[in-house]
Amino acid sequence: MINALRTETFEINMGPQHPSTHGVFRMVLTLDGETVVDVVPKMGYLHRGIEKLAEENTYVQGVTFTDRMDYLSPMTGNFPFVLAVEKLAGIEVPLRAQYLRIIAAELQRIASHLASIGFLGNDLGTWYSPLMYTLREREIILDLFEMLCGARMTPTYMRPGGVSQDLPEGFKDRCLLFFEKNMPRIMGEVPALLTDNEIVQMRLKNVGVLPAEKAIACSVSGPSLRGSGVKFDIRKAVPYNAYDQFEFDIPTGTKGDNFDRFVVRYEEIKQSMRIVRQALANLPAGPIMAPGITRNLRAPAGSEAFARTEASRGELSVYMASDGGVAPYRCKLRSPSFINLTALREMLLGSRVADVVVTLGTLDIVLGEVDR
Amino acid sequence: MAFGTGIIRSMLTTLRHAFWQRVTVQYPEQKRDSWFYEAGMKPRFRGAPMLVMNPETGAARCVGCGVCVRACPHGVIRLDTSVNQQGQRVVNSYEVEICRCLFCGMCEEACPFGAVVCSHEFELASYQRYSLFWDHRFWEPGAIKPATPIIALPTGKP
Amino acid sequence: MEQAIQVVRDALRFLNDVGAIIYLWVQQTLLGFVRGFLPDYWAGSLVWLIMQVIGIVCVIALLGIFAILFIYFERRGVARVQDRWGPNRAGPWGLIQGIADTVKLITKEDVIPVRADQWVFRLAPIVAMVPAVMVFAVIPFGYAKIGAGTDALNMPFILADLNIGILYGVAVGSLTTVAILMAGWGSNNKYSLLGGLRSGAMMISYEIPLALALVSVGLLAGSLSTVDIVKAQPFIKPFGIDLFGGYILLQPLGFILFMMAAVVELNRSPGDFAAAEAELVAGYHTEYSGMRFAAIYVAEYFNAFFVCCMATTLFLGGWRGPEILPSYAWVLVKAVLLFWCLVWLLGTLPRPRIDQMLGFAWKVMIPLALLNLFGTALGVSLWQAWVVK
Repeated sequence: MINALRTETFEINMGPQHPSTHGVFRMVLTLDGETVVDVVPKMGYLHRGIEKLAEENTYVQGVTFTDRMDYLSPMTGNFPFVLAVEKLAGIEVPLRAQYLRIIAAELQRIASHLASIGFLGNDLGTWYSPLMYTLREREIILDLFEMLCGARMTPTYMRPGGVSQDLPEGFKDRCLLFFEKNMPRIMGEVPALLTDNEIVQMRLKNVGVLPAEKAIACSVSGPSLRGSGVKFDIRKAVPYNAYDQFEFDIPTGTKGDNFDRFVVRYEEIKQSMRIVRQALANLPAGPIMAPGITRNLRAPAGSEAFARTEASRGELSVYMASDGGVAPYRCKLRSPSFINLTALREMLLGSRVADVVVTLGTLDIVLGEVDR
Repeated sequence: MAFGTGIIRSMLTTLRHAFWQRVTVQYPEQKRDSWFYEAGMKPRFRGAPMLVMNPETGAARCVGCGVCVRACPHGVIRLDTSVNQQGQRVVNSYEVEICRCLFCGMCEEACPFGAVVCSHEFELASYQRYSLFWDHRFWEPGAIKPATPIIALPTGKP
Repeated sequence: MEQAIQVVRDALRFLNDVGAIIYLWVQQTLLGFVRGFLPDYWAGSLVWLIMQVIGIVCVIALLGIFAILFIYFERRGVARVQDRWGPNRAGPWGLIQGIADTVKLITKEDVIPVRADQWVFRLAPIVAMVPAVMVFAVIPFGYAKIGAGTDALNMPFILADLNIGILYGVAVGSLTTVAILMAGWGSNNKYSLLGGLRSGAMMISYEIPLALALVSVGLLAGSLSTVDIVKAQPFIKPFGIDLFGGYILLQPLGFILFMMAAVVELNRSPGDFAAAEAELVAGYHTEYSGMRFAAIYVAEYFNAFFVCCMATTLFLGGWRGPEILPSYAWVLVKAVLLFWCLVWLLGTLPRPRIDQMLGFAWKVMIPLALLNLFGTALGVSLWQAWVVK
């Protein structure tokens, strides 16, 4: 009987200014009542020309731009850039610097996932309550970063050849105290407030399903890929920067729906805590910067390098080519959020308007990364 | 009833929070200190870049070499020097465009004389655009805040 | 000692009755004055009219104060749940925040979309506000017993003791649905239309369990008048003082159904589909600004106050309670307690999807409400057959 009625679809703009699109992101939804028939994402509202700027600044200055790409997890944004420079120029990084980098990156991953979980609560309709609780712990991680390198959001901590500063006095104790005292509270509250809540399960389960083959076909990476059941983590598959000396698991989901992606992020926090504990316990002594690195670092002309890392949102990779000057000839940043967005249409066809926002929330995009 | 237990658990969690102390730092009465967060700025905090005063001479340590100008990613520092009668380089003006500064600290790392540091000054908001171009703001070594707002550099002294 | 207690009791009794005494005094004075130039019947009617107008003004003043207080209370309450302070800068403890917001909204530009349906757009806030104020005619805010013995005057503080009280309340309260549909349609905005239609569907679905829960209470009390329902409620009475009770003891399921349906009727989280910020920006009130928006916003809090007062009247015993507080204070205390529960729900629960909520209404709540009604009817008839004989 419903099919006998002649209905029309209408287009609605989930526009750049929206409380829930995680940034300036525009989607043109074609709706049939409440069901989504087509999704066309339109990006570019936050394009700042980072790749072009990187061609005009030296290698060391270029690290500051990578902070601002994924502004919710800047340490992991620094990582592939410095790895690419080191591959290009043939620099050997001391082991202590590698461990410090891992500590910074994993702490940043915890902070980023905490923020992602909190903001998902916002999308679901809890008016900022889980967000306040997760951000409370994230503030302590950001304080740790301030203790370490002086800035909370734009640390510029990793440099080509090592890291910029050593651990200060009391960092290790403060970090371990944070893990003992503060993290158990939030790790207990997230299940109580979100994961075990039946309304959240009703909203997240069987919605936004991305099957494993589609995920691989769309080059999705990160927790979104692992939520679909594909056990692929660059830290284990293509280990870089001493990650093969650490012991950690890779949580995966089964169905690829929103709930699995959400739970994968929650479990990854626990694995990151494991890694940081091991790194702090086994931290070797030594220099934090490779010898002979100047501000005007040059790489051999005609060389190129590709560095893949596992950032908080997926595979963040940098391709760099040099022509012998102080600045790279070309620096291409492959950001995970941009590529993950190509799978959005697959996930959203047939779902409702309310699911659009939630699926975008579990896909966890950051517009700074998407638009660069 | 198995259906409602999760909801009841979440409601009890928030009810527990309702009886705790609030976590917010009441700026401007409190700055970075509350019962929950550690008080004070961390020593390595990167705020606005300022010139360091040499305690013996009372003048800035800056000699006008220009390394910081080249190290800055955005060209935020502007340096104007000239040569005085004794043949020494003298700094006429050292201007930092605070409105475009990234607070990355590259100038501090680049300076061979330790003349530029990222101070702990972070309350930089202003009503006029021209006041965001800082000229010669001094920072006493060891101080948390700068000594005086604007000071003209006495010319003729290194 | 005995005398001290007696003095305190008399003082509390006076506090309770002072409003009634003033009312009666004004009434008698006016009657004496008007009888001078009008025949008896007309004099009585005129005085009655004047007293009603005075009562309406008092109730509207009370409503105004309480709506602003509720807005403030909600913001502070939600902030408390979230480990933060609410508004605490405007005035001492942020109490002037409501007035500051009102002044700001009054001075805002009145923006009306050019292609909006002009009359529908302009009338929607009025249609939202007027029923929200009208329903307060049937809430008893207190009780006073002047005099003693057989010719004592029983005065419930109610504007109109209709003998179809709760029917009037539900009927007039459901006019808010019309207002939201008008606002959604009149805005000429796809988001608003979506929000308005969603909300319309939700509200008419949730009227049914609401009304059925109220009907069960009416069955138990034997009357639809709110005053009779409060008087008929069972109370635990040690030493003859009302301590605790109400129909919540006999109808726990009815109370839960009433509150859940009320949360959705009020368009409050977790049932705020009309203005689900995350999805529809602001839903049906996207295009409203300034005083029109303030009217819709405050009407929502009037409705919330009404629902809390209705729930205390029907389930928690209305004005009845130990004599340590006057009767009107008991009504307000219980209403504020229920409002805290609503605020707590807002801060905690996420929003189900609209089709899940509608399914829940039709497949779970209506059968439960019908079962409740059936059980109540069975209980009442068995009680009358066996106990009353």
